Amino acid sequence: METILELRHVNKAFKGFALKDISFSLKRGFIMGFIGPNGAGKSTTIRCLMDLIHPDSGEVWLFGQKYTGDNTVLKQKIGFVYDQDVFFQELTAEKNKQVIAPFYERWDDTLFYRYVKEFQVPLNKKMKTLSKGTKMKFALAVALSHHAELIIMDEPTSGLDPVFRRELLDVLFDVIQDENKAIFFSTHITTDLEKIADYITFLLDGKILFSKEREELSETFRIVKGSRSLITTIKQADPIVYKETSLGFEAFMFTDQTEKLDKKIAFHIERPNLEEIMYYLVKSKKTETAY
Amino acid sequence: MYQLIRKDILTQRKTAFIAPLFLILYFLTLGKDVPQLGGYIYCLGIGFIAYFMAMLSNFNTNEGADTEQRLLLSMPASRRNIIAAKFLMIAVWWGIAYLLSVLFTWVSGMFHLIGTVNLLSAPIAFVSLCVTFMLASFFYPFMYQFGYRVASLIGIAVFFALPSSLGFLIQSDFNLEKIQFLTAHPLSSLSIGTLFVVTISFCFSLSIVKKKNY
Repeated sequence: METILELRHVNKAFKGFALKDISFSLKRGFIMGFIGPNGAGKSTTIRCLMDLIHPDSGEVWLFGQKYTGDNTVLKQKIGFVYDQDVFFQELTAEKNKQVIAPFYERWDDTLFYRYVKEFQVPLNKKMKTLSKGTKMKFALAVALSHHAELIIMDEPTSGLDPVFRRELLDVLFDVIQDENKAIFFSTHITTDLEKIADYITFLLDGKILFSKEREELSETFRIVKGSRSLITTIKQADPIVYKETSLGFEAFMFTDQTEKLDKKIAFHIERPNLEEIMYYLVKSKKTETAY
Repeated sequence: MYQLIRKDILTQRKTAFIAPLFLILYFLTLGKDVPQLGGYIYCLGIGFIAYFMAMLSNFNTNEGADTEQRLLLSMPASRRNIIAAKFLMIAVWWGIAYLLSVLFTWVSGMFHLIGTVNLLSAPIAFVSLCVTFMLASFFYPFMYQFGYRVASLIGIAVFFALPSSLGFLIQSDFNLEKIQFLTAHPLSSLSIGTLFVVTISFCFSLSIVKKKNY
């Protein structure tokens, strides 16, 4: 399957923050979730992807070509959703559509109005009067209405109620049924990713901690729990993160480390969800290790 | 390019289209003395109104030009085309300002509110076009570098500085023979000067936008 998006050793330094050696790729037919705590550099990476920011070094490749923002042919194939009001606030949603649609050769009005109806976006109201969630719905309708092959979204589910978030995931799931397409989106809400993402890329302090298949990721780590009497044993196993609780301890470890634990001892071993993985990895600050 | 031009027209604030009325209000205060003002004032007036329209076309997103750039650059538009469209639009705004000014003065004249003024003259049209391009050329590089607040202040300062420096030059002891070509061929000199300023401004604006992170 062709690689649709690839970052190769992208570096970008700002005052007090830097993206360091960002490399990952996404193939057609897949959804990649981009996670990381606030300030990790998710939006900056997306802005590099969209050529809104010029990397100091490294390359962005889209659709098998080195990407520069002047390549309008490639831009035709990209749908985007930002976590910021980029539309014309003084215009109605309908007028915004009228401004944006002519930029896209494959704009599909029927599709747009279908999404707008489905998402219940009032077209006759000015953008500035819409709620954050409705603005996000409008941005989604725009992103999905020109048959984009790559959809890039920065925090699309933030500000959305749980019902619409679920509906959005269904829409994305429908979109990805076309194996020619791919979706890349950043989010804090990791439960959304557990439902639909094929790959997870984790960014921390401007560095990629991992970029893995979701299934593989859930096999990589384990949470081990046990009573206080087992603290010495678990410490010897060198967990990534270890913390004492009122009932005993919780340790976050690699799966292969847990396999070395004595089977006779009553450890309680759990598979962590994405939120727990994110939490423990941020806590561990073992950022120098590539998992 | 067409889409960018269309975008500027569709997103323009409605108040911009009534800007030529400011010129009429000024004329109304002068009443029958308007024909004595001379082409110089008409050119500056139309030029400033067109510049005002061009300037206002950049204030259509909540957070200023950078937000709009973010949207445009994410759509199929190159940085070069975005700048080229902005400079092309200067002429479009001038055209609209000029036609509306002609229309409004004609209507005001019909009702004898002001003296008879004929703005439909090639020199007035040409000089006001040059004034518009000159003012906007000062505005755009500053807008792309520092934002519209700084740029609009500079634009207004330039508007007052241009005629007053010209007046100062004429009234001073400066030997006009030194600029004989300019005085002998004012329109040619103006067009060369405008072309020069616009070229410099375009290159600066493009260079700023190409390097800038949005």
